[in-house]
Amino acid sequence: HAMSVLATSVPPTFDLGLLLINNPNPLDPASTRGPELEPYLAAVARENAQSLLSEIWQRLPAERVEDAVVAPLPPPSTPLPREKPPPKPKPPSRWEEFARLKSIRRNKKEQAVWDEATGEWRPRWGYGRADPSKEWLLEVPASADPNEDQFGRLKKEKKERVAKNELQRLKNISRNMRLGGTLPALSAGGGGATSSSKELKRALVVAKRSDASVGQFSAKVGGEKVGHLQGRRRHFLPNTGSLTAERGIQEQVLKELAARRTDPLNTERAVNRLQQQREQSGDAANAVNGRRRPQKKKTAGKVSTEGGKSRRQNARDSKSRKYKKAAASGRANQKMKSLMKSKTLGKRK
Amino acid sequence: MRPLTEDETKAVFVKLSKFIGDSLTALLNRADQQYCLRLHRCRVYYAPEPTMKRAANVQRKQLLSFGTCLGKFTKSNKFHLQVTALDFLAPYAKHKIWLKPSAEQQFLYGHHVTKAGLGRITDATPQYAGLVVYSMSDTPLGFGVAAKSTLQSRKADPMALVCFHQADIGEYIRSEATLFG
Repeated sequence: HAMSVLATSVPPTFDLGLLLINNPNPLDPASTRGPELEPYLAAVARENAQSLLSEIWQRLPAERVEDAVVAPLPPPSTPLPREKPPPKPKPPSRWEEFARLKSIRRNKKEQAVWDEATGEWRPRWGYGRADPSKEWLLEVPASADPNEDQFGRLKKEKKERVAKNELQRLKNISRNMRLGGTLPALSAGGGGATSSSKELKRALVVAKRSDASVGQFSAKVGGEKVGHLQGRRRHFLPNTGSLTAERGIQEQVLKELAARRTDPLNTERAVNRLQQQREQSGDAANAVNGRRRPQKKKTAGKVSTEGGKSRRQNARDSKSRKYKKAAASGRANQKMKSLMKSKTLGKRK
Repeated sequence: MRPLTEDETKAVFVKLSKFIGDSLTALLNRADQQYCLRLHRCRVYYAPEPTMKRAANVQRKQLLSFGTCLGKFTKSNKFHLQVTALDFLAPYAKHKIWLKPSAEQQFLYGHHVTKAGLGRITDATPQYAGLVVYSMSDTPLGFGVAAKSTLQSRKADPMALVCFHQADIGEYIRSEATLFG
């Protein structure tokens, strides 16, 4: 029944670039009620899809790519609305303003420059250029100090120029941000205000390997973790030679481990020691009926004799041992008292 | 042979500090000679610098060992300490355990230490701390991990495990083939 309706209805329009068929015919009201709804809708969809595909193969020239027959789609003709608002134009930098006012235009320069010294054409920039910093001979100008290092002067001036340029670039960026702009995108492809952290990480990786050595000597930035097997070759410290780099790594790891320690005071050991001393002093108190023995002065540098001791020496030792024990218990008693008084260790009972 | 990377150094130091704690610096900054750590065929060797330089002259496949082997890195890059490191763990051990003569043989055959075989244990040993195992005559027998803290081991019943075995000097005979790769 739907096929007969198609002949007397509005023909559908196509936008083949978007694979779109636009069939404005209304659905048959009788068929949309009751149990016929689903099969009717399926039939309508099938016919529309069929007409879209037949339009594609009729209208477009088919090509053959290896084993497949392919029809290249034309560009879409339906204008789609923007997903996001259009970007605001960047405010011009200070130089751009100045150039506009003075109507200074860029002169396209040629890449090759005639170099008088070598008598050949050299590129203006890049590999093989006539670099003034690589001059082997520099004349000392009449106005300059004869003891001044001319090569050093050139280097310093270049550094200053580079630094000035960098400062002005950063100033432009900050002015941009102040006037409501966004950060400029990185040349490595990521960056900008809307980059995800993954894109930024990717941009960093790309930037680090974008040099002549493919990132072999690029240093680690901050606490960056280089992935397993990233980069062209794994880079190890030299085996022999100076051990300072190795030492540096070891010191750093030791520092990290020290920072990780949770209990620098070892309170458990302190508590156990206090308990032991209490037990000891309790025994001593039982032994000498609560009287505290006079403390014996400990002589420094006492050397214990190994091997056979004389009987007299043994007797002397046993006596000194007895006195030492009593003295120790006395000392323990005092220590325990002082510990109990202190506020950090032990509980007052 | 090459020096250790930062991750490898961290793995080794973490393992060593479980047994010797802060005395790790005593191993690294020695007064007599400059000692260094080197990785050779997945094993970490601790040797004085002149020895290491001489060992560097031997072909890689033919170099068996130099200095002291502290342990090895497994296939999944975990570091395991070996009994050959005992000489450096024993003098600086933070927590120690002394075995009764009856339990010594059991430990040297590779079994764990039960409460019945426990002679003495260092005070305030936390659970799962690294322990160096001694006989009652103060001979280092090996090392392991505390299954129970000191207080817990005091209350434990005689068949409960007190120390998990990790390495013992009996391995010099039992695992002769695998100790040196």
